[in-house]
Amino acid sequence: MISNKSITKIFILLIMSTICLASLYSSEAEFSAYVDQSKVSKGQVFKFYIEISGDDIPKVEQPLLPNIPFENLGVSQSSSTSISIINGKMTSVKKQTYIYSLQAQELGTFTIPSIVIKAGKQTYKTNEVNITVTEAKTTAQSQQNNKPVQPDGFKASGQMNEDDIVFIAVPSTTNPYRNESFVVDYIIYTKYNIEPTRLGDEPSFSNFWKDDISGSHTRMEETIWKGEKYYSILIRRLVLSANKSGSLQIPSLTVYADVIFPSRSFWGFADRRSISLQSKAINIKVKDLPIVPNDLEFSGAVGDFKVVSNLSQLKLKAGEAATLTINISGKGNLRQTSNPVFPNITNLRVLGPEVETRHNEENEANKASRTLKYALLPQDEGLYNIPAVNFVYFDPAKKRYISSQISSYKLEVERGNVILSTANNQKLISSEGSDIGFIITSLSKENYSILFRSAWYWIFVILLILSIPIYYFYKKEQDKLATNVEYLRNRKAKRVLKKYLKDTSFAYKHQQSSQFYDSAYKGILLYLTDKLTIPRGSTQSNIMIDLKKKIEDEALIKDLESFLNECTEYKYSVGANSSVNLDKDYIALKNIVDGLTKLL
Amino acid sequence: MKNKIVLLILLILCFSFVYAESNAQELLNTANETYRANDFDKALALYSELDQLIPKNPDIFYNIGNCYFRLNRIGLAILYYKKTLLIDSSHSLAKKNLNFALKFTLDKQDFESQNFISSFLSRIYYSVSLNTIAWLCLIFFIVLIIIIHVFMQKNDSYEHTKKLLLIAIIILNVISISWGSARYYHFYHNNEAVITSSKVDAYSGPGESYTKLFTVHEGLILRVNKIEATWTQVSLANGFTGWIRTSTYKTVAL
Repeated sequence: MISNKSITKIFILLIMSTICLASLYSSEAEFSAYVDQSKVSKGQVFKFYIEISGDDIPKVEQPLLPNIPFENLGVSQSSSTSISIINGKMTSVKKQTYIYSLQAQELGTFTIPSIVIKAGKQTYKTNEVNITVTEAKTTAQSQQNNKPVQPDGFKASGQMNEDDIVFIAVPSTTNPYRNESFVVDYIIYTKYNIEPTRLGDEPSFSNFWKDDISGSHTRMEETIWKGEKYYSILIRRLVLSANKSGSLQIPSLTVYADVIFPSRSFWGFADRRSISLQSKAINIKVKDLPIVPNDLEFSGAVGDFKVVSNLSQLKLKAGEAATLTINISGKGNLRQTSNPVFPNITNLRVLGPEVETRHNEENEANKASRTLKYALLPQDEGLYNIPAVNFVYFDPAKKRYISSQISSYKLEVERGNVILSTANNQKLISSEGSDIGFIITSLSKENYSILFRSAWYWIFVILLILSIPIYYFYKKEQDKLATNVEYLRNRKAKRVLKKYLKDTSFAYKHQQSSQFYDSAYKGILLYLTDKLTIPRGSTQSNIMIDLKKKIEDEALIKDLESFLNECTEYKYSVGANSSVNLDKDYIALKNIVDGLTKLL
Repeated sequence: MKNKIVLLILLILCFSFVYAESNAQELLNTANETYRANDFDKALALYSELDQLIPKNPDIFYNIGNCYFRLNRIGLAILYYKKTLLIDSSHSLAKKNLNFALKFTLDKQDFESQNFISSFLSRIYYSVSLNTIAWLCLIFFIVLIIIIHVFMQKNDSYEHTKKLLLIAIIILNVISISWGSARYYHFYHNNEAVITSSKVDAYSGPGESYTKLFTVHEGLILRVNKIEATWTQVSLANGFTGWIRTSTYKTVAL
């Protein structure tokens, strides 16, 4: 039998051991030291805080300050507990703060050394804090600066120092590679209670691809910045990637905010003062990417990526579809990355890819993933080798190009009974984004001029207009001549001369008598055979017989016979040449042709 | 001697023309390569240089617009797309890019308020370039002259058909000449402008002492009514009228 005393002892032992175990597993307490302002003027009073925080903070005695050139005006204590419930799990953080009111006595920069605090058997050390003491300002101002800090940590009112509210841009790196994504936070550090109202004009982020991932709510968080206690507000978070190398500038941003001063009396209203804050532009130096090795096909991705692939089935029937899924995930510029391209495989149709890109995964800026789904449709039975495809990206941390291989697969396809239509499986190609069209690389028209302004255009129009009266008068003249028999006959004779006696006219012009007579003889005979419709090559006597039957002008026939005889005579006589005869005979020939055209 | 001098002048002219053309092509290639390398500032400078060599070329204006777009200067990008379309209203790429760039302006451009008929007529009115209309005018005029010549032949056959044809071609001539005249007038009297400053306040008079009426932002297309020293009276598509500083916008007219 166990006595009641023993049970009580065991119970106490159990509680003690539980407490010991709990203290062993409890998280360690954190010690920190900071001041409300790191720049003070001589004689000014400022606060020096020693803060102990944690799940379960140990009991410590009031820390003793070391020998410092500041007068200790007194110390006060404050403690708080904050409870938060996340996903049904409750956590609490306790905080104990020792607040020392110190007065600056000497000019210069001083360091409050780390203070050793004993908690039970353990000793803790705070961080060092730097203070700069400058010449005292005007009395009124220093008095205002000495006003006490509000209980909730904000400054109450008074002359604002330039360090009290600071707006800065904080890039995650100032020396990125071209196309490497990095995060830029625009943060306000404040000692006052402020309420951002709106952003100023959007600056030009030329030479950067910009992705704004700012949330819709701005939250004020207590923080230590440059050894001082501030409240920080994240105004804007951007993911940038530079599209050119060299010295670039992240532009400054303007934010408008209201500084809220609490009312001095119970019945009063809070005092608001509007201010505008401008962050400084940040200069960064963008490194160019190294030359891509010849054997690699760079995808344009810069960052740290992981590539995983999966084929839905390795055996299927012809007509069925398998899905090849490729997942690229990691930190980097997936937005400006080209997809892997598969080579053509005979009798295998590759549809897609269906692309799904997710950005800022797990609430982490710059983290993205892209899933590509290719539908593989074998058209015939057989063994299909889907080759390994490389996804090449540049890793800024390793400073080299990395080729990540997408596994190769062997797809075994059996003869299918039915060739299935893919119509039901096909999906509309969805647009992942839109952009402006590309530049025009060759000019369609080099010299572009307005036709209405060109002289030749109007000259052509005037000529067209002038053609109407010209044609009118020409037509009128033609009609008039059509009634003139003499003119018509002459024209006909000219045509005959042109057609049958072309060589004769040429020989006359060049005074070639032998050619003149020869061609005249042949031309007249040819003309007569054509007109009398007798076979070509008929003799002169036969032609003349037929001609005499047709026309009765004996004088003409006589002239013709004498001319033809003259031609024959010339042909067979030697040295009978005279230019006077040629002129006379040409006129005679014209008269004969005139006569013949009139009668025939 | 005289002939030799003429021949020499012709040769020099030919050589200088060929040289200028090859120089322009070389410059274009360099600009294209620079654009491909994402150095848009340099590409812009090269295209601007090319604009000096081959002025009023719609394709060069289009490329300049693209450079400005890549440099996040939406106002100037819109301005150059508008300039491209002023010369060649059928420039499909410039139309597409202009519509895309207009999505980035802070002010909604109120073009959709037109009714269906006026929107349809406007689309037809700007469907082809001014030069295409000039060619149409010339072709219709040539056909008209030919028909007049045929009428002067005094041939009585197909009299009715010929008359109908004459009436049809006269109507086509009237339409094309009116269309061409209107487009020519709009080309040389274009009063459109684009806001190139990020934010511009408009006042009721030419000065900041007047009442502030409204605020417009970069990329807004408006019309210039009149200019007085450093102030310009402008009107918006929704009917608003106000005075803005002359330095805050650029005109589309060439």
